[in-house]
Parts: sequence; C-alpha cells; structure tokens
Amino acid sequence: MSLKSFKRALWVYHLNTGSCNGCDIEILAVLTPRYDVERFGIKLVGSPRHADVLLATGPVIKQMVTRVERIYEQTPDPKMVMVIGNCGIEGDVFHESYNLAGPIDQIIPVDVYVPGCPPRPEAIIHGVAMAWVKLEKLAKQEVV
Amino acid sequence: MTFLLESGYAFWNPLIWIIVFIVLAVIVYFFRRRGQKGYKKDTDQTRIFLCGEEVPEAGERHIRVGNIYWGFFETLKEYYEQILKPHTGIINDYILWFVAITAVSVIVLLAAGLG
Amino acid sequence: MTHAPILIIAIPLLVAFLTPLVGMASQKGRNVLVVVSLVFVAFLVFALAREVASNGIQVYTLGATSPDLSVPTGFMVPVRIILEVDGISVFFSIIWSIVSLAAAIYSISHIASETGQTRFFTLLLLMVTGGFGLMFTGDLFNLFVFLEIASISGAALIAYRTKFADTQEGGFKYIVVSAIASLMVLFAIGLLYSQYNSLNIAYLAQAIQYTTLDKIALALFLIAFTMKTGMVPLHLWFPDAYSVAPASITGMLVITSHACMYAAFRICFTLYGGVINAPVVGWILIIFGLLTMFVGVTMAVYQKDVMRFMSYHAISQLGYMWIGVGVGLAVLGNPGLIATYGRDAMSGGVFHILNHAMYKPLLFFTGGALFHYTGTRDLTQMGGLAHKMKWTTILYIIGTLSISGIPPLNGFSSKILIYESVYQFHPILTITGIIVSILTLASFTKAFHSAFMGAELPEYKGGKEVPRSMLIGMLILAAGIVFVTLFPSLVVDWAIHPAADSLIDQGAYINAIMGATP
Repeated sequence: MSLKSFKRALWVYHLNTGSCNGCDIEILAVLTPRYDVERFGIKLVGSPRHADVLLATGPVIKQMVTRVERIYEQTPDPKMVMVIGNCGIEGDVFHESYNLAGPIDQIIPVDVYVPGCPPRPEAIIHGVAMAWVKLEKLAKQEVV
Repeated sequence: MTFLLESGYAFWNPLIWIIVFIVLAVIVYFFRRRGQKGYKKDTDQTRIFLCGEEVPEAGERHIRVGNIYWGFFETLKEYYEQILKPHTGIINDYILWFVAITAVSVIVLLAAGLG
Repeated sequence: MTHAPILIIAIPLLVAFLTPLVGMASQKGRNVLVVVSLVFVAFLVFALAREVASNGIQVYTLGATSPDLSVPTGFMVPVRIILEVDGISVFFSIIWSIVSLAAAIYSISHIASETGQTRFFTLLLLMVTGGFGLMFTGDLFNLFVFLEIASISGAALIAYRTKFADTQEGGFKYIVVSAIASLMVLFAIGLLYSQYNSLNIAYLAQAIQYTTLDKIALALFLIAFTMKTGMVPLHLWFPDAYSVAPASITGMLVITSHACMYAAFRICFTLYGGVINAPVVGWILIIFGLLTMFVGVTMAVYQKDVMRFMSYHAISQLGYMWIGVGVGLAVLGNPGLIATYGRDAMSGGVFHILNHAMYKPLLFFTGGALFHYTGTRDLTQMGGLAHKMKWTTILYIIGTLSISGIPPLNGFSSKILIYESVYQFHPILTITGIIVSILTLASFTKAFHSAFMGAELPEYKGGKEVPRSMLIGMLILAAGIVFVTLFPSLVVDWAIHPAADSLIDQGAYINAIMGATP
C-alpha cells in the first residue's frame, strides 16, 4: 500500500450521534501510547472544517439528524465517513427504540463500517487504514 | 540617521520594527498559503461551524459591547461603585470639586512655604 | 515675516467675520475661503517656526514704530500689548494649525445636513483665533481674553446641533466650567497686577516675589487651567461636553485642552519659574497626573458610548503629559537632575502632546464617522461596520495602535521617552503608565470589536462610506501620525527639544523683552 495522491496527515473529526460512550472510549484508546496512531499522522481535530474523515459513533437519535447532515455538509471534499460500533450500523440494543432516526447510512453516505460493541482498537485502526486507501482513490480522481 | 531616536538610555528605531512586522507577515502568509484549498464556495463547507447547530442571524450572534470584559468589571465591582459616585452629571458637584481642589492646593502651597 | 505673529491671529479673526458675507453668496465659496485661510495660516505658522528655530524668540509689539521695540525709549516697563513667540508656543501653534485645518475640512461634510453652517464656520474660526492668541500672547490679560474667545465659541459649537437635547446640556456645562475657570484666572491676574502694576509676563517673571498672594494666584491659575484641560478629579464635565459636540469640534476641544495646558506650563515655568517651589508643584502635577491616567482609563473601559469612551481616553492620555512635565518641574531647580532625566521627561511629555493631538482628533473623527453612518453613538447598537467603512476602519486601527503605544507607531516613541526618564524619578510612575497603556489597548480592542467586527448587520446594509471631505480631514491627521512614526528623531530635534528647552530657560524669555532695560 503506497500513498501518492493523498499526501497529508489524516485528520479525523469525532461525531457522537448518541452513543453510550463505549466506542468513544475505544477511540481514545487508539490514541493512547499502546496503539498511538498519531505517529501515522492520524489526529482528532475539533472542527469538521479541518477533517478528512468523520468518525461517527452511536445510533442516530432524532434530534441529531439535522446536525449530522449539517456537519457532513461542512466537511471539505474528499471526505470519508466511518461508523464505529454496531449501534451506528444497525442500532444494536437500541434498534427498536422510539427515539431513533435509524442507522447512520440512512442519513449520510457511509464508506467504512467497523462492527463491534465496542470494536477493538485494532479494528478501528484497520478501518482507518481502509478509509485512507479509499481517500487515496478519491483524491486521485480529483487530481485527474 | 533620522530614523533613530535616542532616549538617553536606549534607542528606538521604527524601521527595525517595520522590517520585523513585514518578515512576520511574510511568514504568516507562507503558512496561510499552504492551507486546504478544496472548500467549495457557497456551500456549507465555507459557512460557520457551530457544533452542527443552526447559525443565528448576524444581529443575534454579534457580541455587543456590554458583554465584553464582563469578568473584569465583576472583579472590580467595588472599585467601579466608588468611582462612579462622583460622576453625577450635575454641574453643581463639578464646581464643588473645583472649589475643594483649589482650596487644598492653596493650603499645600502655603504650608510648603512655611516649612 | 516679522508680522507673522499678528497675521496668524488676525487672519482667522477677519475671515471669521467675512464668512457670513461670503456664505450669503455661495456655500462652496465659503468653504473654500475657510480652508484656504487656514492653509495660509498653517503656512505662516511653519514660516514662523523656521524663524524661531533660526533666530530665537520672536517679539511683536503692537502699535510700536518697530515690532521689536518692546520697551519704549524712556520707559522701564513694557507698556504695549506684546506677542512673544518662543519654542513652546510655536510648537503648540503648529499642532493647533494642523488640527484646526483637518477639523475645518472634516466639518464640511460632517455638518452638511445641519442648518446654520455659516455660523458654525464663523465660530470655528473664532475658536482658532482664540487658540493662536492664547499661545502667542506675552501679556496675561490677553491670555484671559483669548481664553474666553476660545471657550465661548467652543461652548456655542458644542451646542451646535440643536436638534439633540444632550448637546444643549453639554454646551451649558462647558460654558459654566469655562466661565468659572476664566474668572479664577482673571482673579489671579488681578492679584498679580495689584502687586506689580504690570500684566506683561516677562516683566512679572522678573519682578515676582512669591508672596502669599502670589502663591494663592499660582494655585488659582494652576487649578483653573487644569480644570479646563480635564484633570481628574476636575474632569467630570469633560465627557459630558466632548461626547455631544460634532466630531470636528471634539477634535478642536482636544487641542483647546492642550492650549490650556500650554497656559499652565507658561505660568509654572515662565511666570513663576524663578521663584516657584518646584518640587511641591511638580508633585501636585504628578499626583494628579497619576490619578488622571488611572481613573481616566478605568472609566473609559466602562463606557458604551463611542464618543464618551474616547473622551475618557483623552483624559487618561493627558496624565502622561502631566507626569512627564511634572517630573521636569519637580527637578527644575537642580541642573544636574534636569540633565540626567528632567529634560528627557519634559521632552517625552511635550512629545506626547504632539502625538496625542494627532491620534486623538483622528479617533474622534472616526467616532464622528460612525455617528454619521449609524446615526447613534451607542456602541451596543453597532457591529460589522468594517464591511462598508473600509477607510474609516483602517484609520481607526492606526489611531488605536498609536494611542495604545504599540510599536512602531508614534504613541510608543513618546511613551518610551516618558517611561525611561520618569522611572529614575519614581518607578511607580512608569508602572502605572504601562498598566494604563495595556488597559487603553484593551478598551480600544473592545470598541473595535463591537463597532467594526462581526457579520454585517441588516440595519446597516444600505449605507456608504463617509463623504470625501471627512476622509481627507482624517487622512491629514493619519499622515501626521505616519510622519512622526517614521522620523521620531527629526521631530524631537527640531520641535520637541527646543520646546522643552524654552520651558526650562526662563531667562531667555525675559531677556527677549526686558533685555533693553538695565
């Protein structure tokens, strides 16, 4: 795997759409010295305007729908959306809840799914790597 | 060298400062130019980010003067209570101050002459 | 050029009464007349400054066969009205001529929607006359007369916009304060006249004994003039009057307060220079100066009215000048200390007057531009004005950086002179000065943010940048700031040091008039 078109560090925006905080802690674990993804240039940023990847956790509750859409719109192109955890993929334990607007991919397009409740840090890193490869392809299309 | 001002202890040259500011401006411009250019104009990508919330109207989101430095005034509340007292806006009070200060100055000048 | 001193006073006076006649024929002709006469006066002032720089003090005796015949043959005392121009008076008159020119040009558009414009310009020129007379006269009674001319026309101009109620109140406060100050000055002049039978400053300076009556007269002079300059705690009338006047008049009032400061310097250094209890009077000025700086700036941070906020800053900046000159006065009797830091402190104080007379009217003019655009002085109703008023914003930034003493602008060059010299006198002065400078920057940032920054407000979408004549008035002052910024040592060597030295050197002032008598 060699990177040619996407020549900068990968900046990630963490978007919590109603998660139980389990996946969020695993995302933090990815940043700890044991896994330390910042050595690859993967970094959490505070604004989707700076981000290449949106990291969405949790099922989308009704109040979050417009906000999720707006944040997706505000992320510059090329962008990737990663869903972390079962909740975002199919609702998991909340899937029959009265308060859900549905899985994330019914609201915004999702590129990478990382299943698990919560997923292991290794799985998250693997997902990010896949997202990076896809971004590389997208960036190449834009350059051409 | 007309740019140089000797204050007796140090010197002061506006040209040096201007050159420093120009150099800093070039450095800032250099970093700014390296920024992401991929934002699409007139989409949400260039609008204000407020944690995904809807951004209020211009008049609503402008921080007005009364809200600036609130902590400063809260800390110095007692000072301001005292200092606002003489600012009555009544001309009689202003003249009273004048009479008082003149009297004090006369006394000070006369007393200084005695010693 | 020998007649320059009287021409500088006479031309604005004559044009003032010519203005209504020309104004009946054409408005444009009147504006041109006013501006041309002020440009000519400014030219004369610069020519006179050159004369003073090369030939020393200029004396002009009214009614004598020769202008320099100050003491008539066979007399021991000067009997005629004498104008005497030395370094400090010519320094103040340069400031006065530049700012009055800028104010006149600014006024043309600023009052374009008002009635009675001709009277406005008549009063403005009378005020100019009063200021020049105050600076050039060598006679105490004329000093009082010109002070009155400047104050009465000033009061009328403050109340010029009769459609607002607060202008009437401001004008009333100004006239009461001025009348009482002038009355006290007249009383003090009477005390001196009754003892020495003369009104000539040079003669009085030679004859004065520093009796008890003289001390009372000194206190009356000093406090009356400091009230006119707006020294804390006699500053209370100051924002009330300044904030309601048309912005061009506020600029003129700033330099009127400098003119009164000149009168106070003249009294302390020249009239009483030989006999004064210098440390005591110096410390009085320094203590009031410290109070002025600190109270002025803390009150300014608090304000929400743009002109009022700038008025409090005008008060606070005056403190720097009082401290600089006060330190010079406190060590006046000691030539060694004068050489080590006294002269530098006075130069710093005098230099700060020049800088303040450039950036403060500029800031008041930008405040007037905001009022012109928005129709309110209330900062809480402003916002996002930089979108439409690009020039005003730039000029406001120049003024702000200058008043806060941000390098490399001119405000810093005078402040560093003051800081470094008064530190040797007492460190607390410098520390207070720096704190005040920080608070000044903080409050101007606050006003900048609330008036200019932010998104464009819907209520101010349709407006346009202020008219050209207002911009020219502001640009004149901004050009002055840039000039002083770039060439501080040129200004200090040619204007500031001669001015400070002429304050220290009382003997030269006396000799210029009394030299002929044994």
